Amino acid sequence: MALGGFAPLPLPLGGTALDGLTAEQHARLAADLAACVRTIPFAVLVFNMATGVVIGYTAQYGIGTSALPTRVDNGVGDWTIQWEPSYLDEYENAYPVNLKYATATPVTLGTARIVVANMVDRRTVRLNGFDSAGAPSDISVVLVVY
Amino acid sequence: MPTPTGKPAWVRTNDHTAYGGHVNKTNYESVGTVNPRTDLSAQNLCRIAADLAAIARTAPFAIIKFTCNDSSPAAPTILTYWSMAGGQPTPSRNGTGDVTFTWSASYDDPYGVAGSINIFGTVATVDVLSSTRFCTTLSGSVSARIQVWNDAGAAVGDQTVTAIVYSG
Repeated sequence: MALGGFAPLPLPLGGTALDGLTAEQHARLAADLAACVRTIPFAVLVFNMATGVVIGYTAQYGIGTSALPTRVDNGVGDWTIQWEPSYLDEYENAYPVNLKYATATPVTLGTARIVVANMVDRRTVRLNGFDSAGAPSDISVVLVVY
Repeated sequence: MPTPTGKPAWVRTNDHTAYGGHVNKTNYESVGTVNPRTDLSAQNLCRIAADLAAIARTAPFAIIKFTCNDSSPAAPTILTYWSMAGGQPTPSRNGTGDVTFTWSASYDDPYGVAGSINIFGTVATVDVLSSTRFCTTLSGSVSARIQVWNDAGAAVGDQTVTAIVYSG
């Protein structure tokens, strides 16, 4: 089965492993893609609470500094991270942010630190960092939201 | 063997166009799907491409469950390991409750396209009940170091940990 100019979209399912996409292959592709969409993180943010410097960021809608959520320093070891109400996909369709879960881990070596991620609302997470005595502490964290 | 467009997923540079999406993609002569049971439309393909680009940006590079070996000091034992590419990382022990996993600088996808590793974050949780244990992590470009602590701030040995590693 030829593709491209010889068999433009809509693509008839069929052919062989070398020149087509079978219904069975497409079914597996669709099922696995749908499964991954259900559990994949919305965003991963690594940043330093003391300086606000972002070490790494990736999100379903984009990567790097241009895609960063708003970050507000509330005090020692206390930050609020907020995403926009919605983001555009590649086809410029807007979809709302509806966060459900947040998890975080301190980024440090040699000293015990704890970070707590609290869902404020469906697009806002508040992070509190602590030392091992329970006192607020500016630490670096990895935040993963779903 | 074809050379796929774009880079492997863990490099995180692919957008929808790498998967065949295009903002102006249309069905040939604007004739839509005749039979949704047998045809894949331009709209279907664009949705696949956009969703795959989205999840490829945030999918973990690796998920690793391991047990620290501190009573009889040795490299941690990897219990389960999933990753986007390659085999298990090299485990090593730095001290009590303190381990490092090291990956290769680059891995190939199934088509032989190389993608570099750049680990920027690791989330880790201790598998434990009825006692306070938690982790801290530090990610290098090809490594993830994980330490386990108790609520007194002391390093704890022989714990089982699940770590999720992000590269990009």
